Amino acid sequence: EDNQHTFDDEAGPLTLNAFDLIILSQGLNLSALFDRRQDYGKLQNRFLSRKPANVILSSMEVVAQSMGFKTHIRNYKMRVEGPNANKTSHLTIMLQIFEVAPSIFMVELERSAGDTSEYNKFVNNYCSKLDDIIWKVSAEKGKSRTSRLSKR
Amino acid sequence: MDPVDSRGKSNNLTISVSEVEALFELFKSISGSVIDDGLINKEEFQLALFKNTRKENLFANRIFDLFDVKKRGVIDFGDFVRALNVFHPNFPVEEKIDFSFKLYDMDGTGFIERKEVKQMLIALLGESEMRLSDEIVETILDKTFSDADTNQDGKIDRTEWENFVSRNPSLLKIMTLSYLKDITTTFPSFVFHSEVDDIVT
Repeated sequence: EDNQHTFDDEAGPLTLNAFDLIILSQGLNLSALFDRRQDYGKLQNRFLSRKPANVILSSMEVVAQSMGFKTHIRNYKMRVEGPNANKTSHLTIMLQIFEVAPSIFMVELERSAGDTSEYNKFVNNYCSKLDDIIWKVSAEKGKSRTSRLSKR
Repeated sequence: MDPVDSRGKSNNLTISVSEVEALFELFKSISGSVIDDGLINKEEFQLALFKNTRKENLFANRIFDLFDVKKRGVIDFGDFVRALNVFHPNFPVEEKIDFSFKLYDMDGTGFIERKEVKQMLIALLGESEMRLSDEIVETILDKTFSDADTNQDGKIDRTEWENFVSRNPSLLKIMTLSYLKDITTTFPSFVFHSEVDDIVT
C-alpha cells in the first residue's frame, strides 16, 4: 500500500459539467448490449458528499483498509484491491472524486476486476461504513440528514 | 435497403461481413427475447441494456428513437447495424458528434436547450439516487452553459457543440464501442446488401 499520496500541481478534483454527468447514465452505456450474461447487478455506483475532498479521500482510504483491502491513491483517484470474503477471488475497485459544484463532490465507484455480486456486496458494506461522509438530501425541501436517522 | 440514404449519403459500413454475422447473432438474441418477430421493441431494448424489461430510462429512450429511423417503434436488423456502425472506433468523429448532438436535442429543434439539459441532468441524478437542490442544479447548468454556449443565447447550436466537444473529448466516449474494435475492413454497401439477404432469408 502507498503511504505517500502523489498529487500533481492541480488544485483539486476534476470538475464535471452537466454533460460529464449525463454520460454516466446506464442508458448510454451500449456496451451492455454485448454483455449477454444474465446476472443482474451494477458495475458503477456514485454518491455525493459535502465534506472537503481530502477528508473524503482519507475516510475512503481508512475504511477500505479497515475492511482488509489495499489502497493506492494518485490525485483524487483510488484503487482498492483485495481478496473477497472467502478468499476465493480477487476484487479491484476504482474510486474517483469529482467536483460537481462549489464544495459539492461526487465519488464514482467502478468495478475494475472481480465478480459482479462480490462488487455489489463490497459497495453495500463500504458505503454503509462511509455514512459520515455521504450526503443524502431528503425529499422534503432539501433538508439534509444522515442515514443513521432512518434506522428507527 | 438502399445503398444511398435519403440525404444522398452512402451507407458505407466500417463493419466487415463476419462482424455483420456476429451482430446478427446478437440481434437475434435481443429481438427474440420477448416477442420472436425479428424486431427489437422497446421492452427488448430495455431488457438488453438493463437486464430488466420495465426499466424506463430517458437516455435509453433517446438511443432507441435514434436507432428507429423509420419511426415504427421497432428496430430491424438494418437499423441496428447502421446505428451501431456509428459507434465503431474508426467511424468519423464528425458523425459521432452529430449523433450525440441529436441525442441531446430531444425535441429536434436543432439546438440543445437549457431546459433539455436540465431534464437530462435531473434524470441522471434520479437514476443515481442522488438529489441536488434546484439551486445547485442551476449552478451546474450555469457553468456548463458559460463553457458551451459561446453566444450566450441560452441554447447550444451544432457549431458550439462541436467546439465544446473538441475541448472536452471525453464527452464522446459513449460514442465508441471497443467491442467493434477488431473490425478493420471497410465494407462496401452493395456487398453488404446482398450478404444481408443471404443471412436474413
